[in-house]
Amino acid sequence: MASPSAISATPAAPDINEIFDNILLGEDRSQQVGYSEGYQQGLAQGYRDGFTAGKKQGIIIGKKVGYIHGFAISYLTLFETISFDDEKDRSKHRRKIKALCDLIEMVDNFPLSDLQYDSFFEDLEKIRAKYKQVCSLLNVSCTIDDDEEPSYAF
Amino acid sequence: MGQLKEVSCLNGHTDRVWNVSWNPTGTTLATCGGDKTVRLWGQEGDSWVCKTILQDNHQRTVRSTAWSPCGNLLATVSFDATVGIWDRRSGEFECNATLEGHENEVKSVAWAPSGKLLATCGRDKTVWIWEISEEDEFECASVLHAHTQDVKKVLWHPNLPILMSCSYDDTIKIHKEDGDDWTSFQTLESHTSTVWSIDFDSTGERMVSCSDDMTVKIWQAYQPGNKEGIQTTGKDATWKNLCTLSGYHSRTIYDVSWCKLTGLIATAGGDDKLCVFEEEVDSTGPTFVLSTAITRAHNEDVNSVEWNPKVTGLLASSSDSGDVKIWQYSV
Repeated sequence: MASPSAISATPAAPDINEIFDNILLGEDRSQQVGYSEGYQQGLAQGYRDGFTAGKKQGIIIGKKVGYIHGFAISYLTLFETISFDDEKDRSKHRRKIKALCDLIEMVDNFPLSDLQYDSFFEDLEKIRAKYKQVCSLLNVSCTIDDDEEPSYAF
Repeated sequence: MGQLKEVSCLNGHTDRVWNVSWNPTGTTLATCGGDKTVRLWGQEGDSWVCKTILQDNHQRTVRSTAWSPCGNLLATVSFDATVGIWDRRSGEFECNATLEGHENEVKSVAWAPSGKLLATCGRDKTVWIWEISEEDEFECASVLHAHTQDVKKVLWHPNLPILMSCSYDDTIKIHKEDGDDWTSFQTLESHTSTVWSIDFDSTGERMVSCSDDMTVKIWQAYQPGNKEGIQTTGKDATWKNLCTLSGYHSRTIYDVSWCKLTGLIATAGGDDKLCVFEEEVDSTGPTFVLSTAITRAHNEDVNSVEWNPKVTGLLASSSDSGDVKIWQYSV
């Protein structure tokens, strides 16, 4: 009695069953090959799309945060160069200066490039809220556009 | 069982009436709405008449109004994103300040009991706190971005420097001053849909809220060291849901008012119904039972309800139908 290993050891004579199997399962096999090729292509395409979308978002966020930072520093510099007539005059601007300093500190501490940072968007909203307060105190219009979806108002 | 009797129906608004607000002495009722005007009503003899119309200031719906504790200032908030401050110290009401900053519709406004702080909130999900200087100038003390949706109402605590806000995100949040800014330190979650309105009882130890989930909830403040053993943080009380009243309204409950004189709670809903609840204390603790209800109060959604602060049992309500009604509660 020949052992199964002895049969497969002779490659010159392919097993007729294997040939039939290959023909019979041909459709399945090419489906599998197609699937894994498609999967790999999808992964690559998804990565590219995700990268592009993320980059777009990142640019918007970076621009906003950068704008706010520059805005705050410019105004703070302006206040530092003003010579106040008296203490009363200075105290009138106290809240503005404090809010500007707070805003700059918030932006400085914001981990802009750390995508793993848990409260990224929460902190971003806090910066936006502080920016709105500063704009109100300085009596300038808030120029950051909101790209929010419209919703019903009651 | 009590009963509500209609005392007067005030006609004049040409669009839905969003809000009613009594002045601190209970002599004037301010109403506002879709016709962009604010009407001030007063009593002449036995009837209520429109004494003044404040108009041409807001470009869109006036959503809400609030009287300063001194009664001389009236704040109006509008869907046009602005807040108007009207002053009557010159004899007539004049709009002497417009506060800008909200990105879109402003929904609610409230004066702190000291009269030195004003809070506003709106669709842009923010709560703004304005400080009033000695020169009567309004300065933004903080912009709070605590809610994740439209903020429906703001309300100051009657004797503590804390502010409550409720929202389309189904929560109530509590804010307090923290250094030079304001911060949110507690979130009350229990309602399963939009929380439309809140009010305090006369002591400030309890609060009532009403919601799109068709329930009314009573909240209790547990102070540090409370005998019930409810955990608190620092010096702040912890607010917990004490009981829930359901099954009384069949649509959204838009407004609630807790009478500081009688302890009665009035609710108004999209089902055109007004309900009045009274507290009963039995061995199991406090419960609230329906005292009376008006099923067809206005023929359309009832948007707002408020007890008169000085006249016992006098209640004002307003509706989408454009009417404002004055009711008298009696036992």
